Amino acid sequence: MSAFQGLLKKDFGISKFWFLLWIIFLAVFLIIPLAIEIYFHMPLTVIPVAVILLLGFHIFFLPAMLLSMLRLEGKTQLWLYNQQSSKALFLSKITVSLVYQLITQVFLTGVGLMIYQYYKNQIHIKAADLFNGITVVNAGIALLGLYLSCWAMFYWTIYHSLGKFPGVKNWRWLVIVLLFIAYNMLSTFLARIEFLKEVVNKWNIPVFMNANGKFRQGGWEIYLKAVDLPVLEFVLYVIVALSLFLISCWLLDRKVEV
Amino acid sequence: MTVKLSNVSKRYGKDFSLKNVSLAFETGKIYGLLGPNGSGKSTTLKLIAGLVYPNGGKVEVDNEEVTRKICRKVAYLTELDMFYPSFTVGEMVEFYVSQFADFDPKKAEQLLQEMKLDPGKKIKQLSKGNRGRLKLVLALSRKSQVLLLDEPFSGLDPMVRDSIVKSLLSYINFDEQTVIIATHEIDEIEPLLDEAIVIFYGDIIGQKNVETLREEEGLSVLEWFKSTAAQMEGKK
Repeated sequence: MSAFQGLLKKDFGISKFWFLLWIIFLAVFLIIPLAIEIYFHMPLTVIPVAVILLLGFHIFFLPAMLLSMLRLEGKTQLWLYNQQSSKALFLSKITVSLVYQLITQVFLTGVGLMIYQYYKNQIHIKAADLFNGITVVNAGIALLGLYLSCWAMFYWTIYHSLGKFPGVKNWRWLVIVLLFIAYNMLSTFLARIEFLKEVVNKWNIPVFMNANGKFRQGGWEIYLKAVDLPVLEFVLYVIVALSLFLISCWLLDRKVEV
Repeated sequence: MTVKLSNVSKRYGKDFSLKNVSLAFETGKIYGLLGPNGSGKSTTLKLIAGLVYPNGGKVEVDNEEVTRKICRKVAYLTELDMFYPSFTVGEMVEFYVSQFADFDPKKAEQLLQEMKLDPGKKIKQLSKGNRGRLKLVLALSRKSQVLLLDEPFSGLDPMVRDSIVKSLLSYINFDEQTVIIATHEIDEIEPLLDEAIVIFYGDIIGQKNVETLREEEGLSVLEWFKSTAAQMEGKK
């Protein structure tokens, strides 16, 4: 077993309880709307909403799972007594969280497809549109989850780096809040500058993700429209995420202490 | 292999844990780092293990400035609980096998048997004594050049302490390893030590060869430690 495989096995081991808990939560959150639909004889009313909500909520699942693992390690920080690079230590946790996320996304997509299969006569959508929609939504959720995880990792390392300064130790959370506000103010300010807006929107790629539906002949007709995704904005997000990841690794190697 | 601290200071806010400390540890010797609670013993070991960084000065192991990566050369037994409670004893050993190239699984198996630890047992079900034993198994199974033991007897009953001392004698490679034991429980480790160093609230206040101490001054390590510490208390 390689060192990274060892890290993966360890991270699966320390997080499986929370994953099982999440699966139980998903099951409960799906069974309750199903029961309501059956009880009130209102098919296809609540459960699609529940599936969409749960799937959407997955943008927070990956960072939450990552933070739950980091919280456990942060109790002693003895996970740093390890010759693997900080990148490997973090990547192992991200990989494990992503695997969990993909499993639950596939599960929820499966539930969604079962609903579609059951009510196929009432929902008309082209197979290609259905496939595109599922792919884009799931990829988008996973990517957004990864992006937010980089922020979670960054804030976590800042918080623990400040732990060695007794003067700031009790106010670390305030530093995190101030950093969060400062970044959001700066990005909002930059987004309002016309010149930057023009540059960012210069190159676009069409992505099929805008769903439109019409109720026709006793059923829903759904089709997807392409939305322009600014390439530069996407690249910027990737750069921000990579920078946050590298800063977090640097802090973990040099500033976080046991 | 030499472990060297040159003018090392470590602060936590305004409080000094170590003040301009210089020390050198040679291969083939067992050092006792002695001092009361909070005197800077654990910080010294953590600095050598690359788990904390000095505010001033330099820490080197084998002429390499210490970073977190130094743990490939340094085995470290912490006073803290370093386990994942949901793991079994066997899984914890397996994890160490995967992480440390110098970890010897056969030695670990042998040590587990000697210490009567069941590899299938969950760590959260182990008693404090058995957790202490497991920490020792993980540290001693590495063929590392430096072995750091932080309070290996903390909270353990005399029977367990005795078995730990025996294990140390059996499993330390006296020719190739540098062993540093930080403790305030001097009686147990006295028979093991080659050198004793007294650390007193961040300062090194004495260093003696244990044999010389016994033969020339007729003092045990404990007696010498007490007199040295009392002198310092008097000066304060």
